[in-house]
Amino acid sequence: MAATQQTVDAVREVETYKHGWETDIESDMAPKGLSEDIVRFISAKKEEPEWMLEWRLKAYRYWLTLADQEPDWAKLNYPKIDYQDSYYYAAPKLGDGPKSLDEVDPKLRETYDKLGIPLLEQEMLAGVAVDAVFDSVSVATTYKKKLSELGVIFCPMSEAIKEHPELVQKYLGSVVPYSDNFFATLNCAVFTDGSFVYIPKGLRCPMELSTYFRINEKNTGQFERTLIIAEEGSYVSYLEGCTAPQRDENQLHAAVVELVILDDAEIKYSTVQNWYPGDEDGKGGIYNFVTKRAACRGKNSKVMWTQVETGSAVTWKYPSCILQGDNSSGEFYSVAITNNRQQADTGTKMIHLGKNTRSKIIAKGISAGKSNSTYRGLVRMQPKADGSRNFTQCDSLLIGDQCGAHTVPYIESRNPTAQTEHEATTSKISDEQMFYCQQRGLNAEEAVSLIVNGFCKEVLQTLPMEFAVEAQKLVGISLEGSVG
Amino acid sequence: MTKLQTTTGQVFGDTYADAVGALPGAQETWINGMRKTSRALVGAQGFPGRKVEAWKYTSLNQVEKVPFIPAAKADDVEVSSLPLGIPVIDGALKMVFVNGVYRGDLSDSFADLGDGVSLKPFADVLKSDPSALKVVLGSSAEACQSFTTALNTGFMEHGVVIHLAKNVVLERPIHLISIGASGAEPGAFHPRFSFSLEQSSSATVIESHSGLPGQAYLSNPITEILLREGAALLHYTIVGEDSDAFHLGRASVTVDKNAKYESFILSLGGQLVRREVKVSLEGLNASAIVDGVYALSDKQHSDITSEILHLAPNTTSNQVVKGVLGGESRGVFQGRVHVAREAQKTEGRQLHKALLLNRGPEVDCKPELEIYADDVQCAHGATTGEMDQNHIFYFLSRGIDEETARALLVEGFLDEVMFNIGDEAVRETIFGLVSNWLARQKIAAVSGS
Repeated sequence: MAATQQTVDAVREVETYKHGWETDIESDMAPKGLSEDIVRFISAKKEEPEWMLEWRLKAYRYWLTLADQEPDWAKLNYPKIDYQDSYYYAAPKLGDGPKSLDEVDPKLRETYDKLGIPLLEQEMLAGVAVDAVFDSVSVATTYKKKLSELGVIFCPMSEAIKEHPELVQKYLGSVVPYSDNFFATLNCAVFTDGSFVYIPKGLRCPMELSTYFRINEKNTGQFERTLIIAEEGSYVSYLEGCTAPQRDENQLHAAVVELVILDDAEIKYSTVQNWYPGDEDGKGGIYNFVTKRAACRGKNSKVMWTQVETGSAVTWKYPSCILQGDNSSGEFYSVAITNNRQQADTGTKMIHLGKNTRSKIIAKGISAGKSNSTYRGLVRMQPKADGSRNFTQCDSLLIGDQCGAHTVPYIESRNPTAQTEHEATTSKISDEQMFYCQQRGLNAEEAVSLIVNGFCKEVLQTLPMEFAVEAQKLVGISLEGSVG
Repeated sequence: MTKLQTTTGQVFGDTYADAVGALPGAQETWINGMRKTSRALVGAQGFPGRKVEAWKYTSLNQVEKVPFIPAAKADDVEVSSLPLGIPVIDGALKMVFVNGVYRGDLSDSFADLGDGVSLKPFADVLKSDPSALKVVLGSSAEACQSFTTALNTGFMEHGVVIHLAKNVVLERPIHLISIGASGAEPGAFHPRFSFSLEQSSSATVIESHSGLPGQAYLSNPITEILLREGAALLHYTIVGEDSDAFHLGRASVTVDKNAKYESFILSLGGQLVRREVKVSLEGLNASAIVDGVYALSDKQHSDITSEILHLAPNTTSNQVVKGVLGGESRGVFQGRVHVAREAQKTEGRQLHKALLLNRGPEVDCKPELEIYADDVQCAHGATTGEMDQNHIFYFLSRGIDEETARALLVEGFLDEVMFNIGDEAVRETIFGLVSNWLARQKIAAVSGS
């Protein structure tokens, strides 16, 4: 892990560096802690225009007023986070930005290969454009040219701020405003990078867009900001996947994802998250506080969130849909697997504003070891949501008698013509199922993997092919050591 | 927060406490302690705001503004006979409380209920034999867990203490009738009902909460129930408060090995009603049924909040709550089913269904499962919506007019839960109350549908 060694060296440099860092734009890492200077530093580092800096500062100042309002309602237990004990900016050492894969730092490429994401192979075989984010800075973007010919903009957020300020100014913060919640506000102030996608009117994006996020810097909070805009009648499928090398210290992650969907447009957003969950005793692991929201602004607009959450020590994530346009629809498919001492509190929000809006929630929670997994979701029918429908199904599976599975739905209806349905069950893998599998020569672990995959099938099959395969393997790997 | 504190300070603070005056049982340090702690809790925390998760959907703003006086001290209230409209349960033994105070003159005699049955006014027990209360008082209704309990415990004085000895089967249902009535000033009262049923004993208890029109009043009753091994209790609560009244009530139930608790809550009347019920299934094979129906109109607000704790193996709970909402009413159902690690082989079922009759009402529902044991079967369901147009069409096609069709459908919707009421006399009374309610409503079609 030469790249890691390099960053470790960078950390050491910074830690011994006492004065004058604020103006040192050449430094690849800001010192620990959060202050207005750090916000300015990040903004300067990104060569951002004045309006962006102002927005960040507004968010930062607001965040200061939220000091005692860190959300504590989730069924999560973690030591209080010292926000001054984290790094808010880290960039891999790079010269000029690479224009093609060949120009990417070979050491970084090596790291990717070890993680099993051969960029070249993906470019050739999978037809997937990859905007790889390595410690907050995008280092390679493939297929960009091909996409730009179609009018698709797919670039790092930092580039979009410079190249397409009119779009960014129009949409950034329009779905998740800077004052939304504690973690989103923090993100607004210190976000380092992310993806920006713009699909022009009437275009069906010919390839699946994909970003792999990595956290690879010791003690660095990662603050991604993603914005996807689907113009009238367009379609895009976006994939987000995460892996992280083993770490001993808890890492903070507070991402924000905003989706804007206009008339007749559709976004399919799929996530596989398998960040380091900590070891068997719960030591280390990522803290994942994510705000994801889709605004179905137009008529017949559609969004589909699919998530497979197997990683992180703490997951706090509620991808939401604001169904504003008439006949718009939102779907949420989720598999959350927790093992050892992992904790996940995840779910969705479906806010029905427009007429005949539809939402569907399928959430599968699997708890093993000493973990706790919670589904927490809100379905709200506003007075004007005539003829709207919601269907929610939450199933929990418990493996072992030391774990917990919880379901906390909130259902609010203010329209008589709107219908909501919610059902939830909790059970365990039956002895009969295990016996049946083992009788046919599977060992206990394989049997559990098979049964759990069956339990999650409804969700997994909504994933794009490449992801579905990876996700199925992940389900098995995540539950290793939970039986026998 | 500070603002809240001062208002509570005014409403249930020193002035109120002074007006309440010396309460029986004050010579007992533990009772005194309970009252003091509870008053301090109410004073320090104030009325729970919307940010308190348990009160997310029920705002006490309206209650907070009213300068209540202790209803028992109001000298301009006279209730000399049982008002009309009090639910009648055939064959039941009546115990009447006016503004929380036991009224022997309006109640049936309970002197000769037989061996092993003891029925005493709470205030008498507080005066003469407070140590008898030690077992049940505060055993399950902890002030620190609920604002409703804290408010009651701080000012508890009247009520009833019922004790059934081992193997006693009380055939006659006991009907506790609470009547609220304010004079010139709005009054508040805090009755305390305490039941303990020893091994294998059984009883049926009905609580009905009604009131007289006039100034608003606040009824704040707490029921504490202790069911020993193999005991069985049928417990029915009928809330039909006056349309201006507030009701903050709670039942806390402890269920031992093989004991059964069966309950039904009917919430019909009152400006703001919150019924809390907490059932702790503490012994092997303990079981509970915690059903309910609410039917609301105008600007009524009704909240049923339940907590069912499975703390021992092989415990069972079943809950069906249905609501019908008209006018601009608001219905709230919050139900938590908790299964502790050692409560293996638990079965928990919960269902909430709400029917919105027109534009205007709001229903908020939060069924919650919290499960720490793996070998369990737990499920919950929740639906909200309007009547099925196909069902109405079925009636219309058979020559039944729409209004009748809708009334029949609402009745059918609620019947499903009410049929499960174990006591026949109570079932009939509740059916009667619900059809009266229906007759008063104009269940017209939803505009625009």
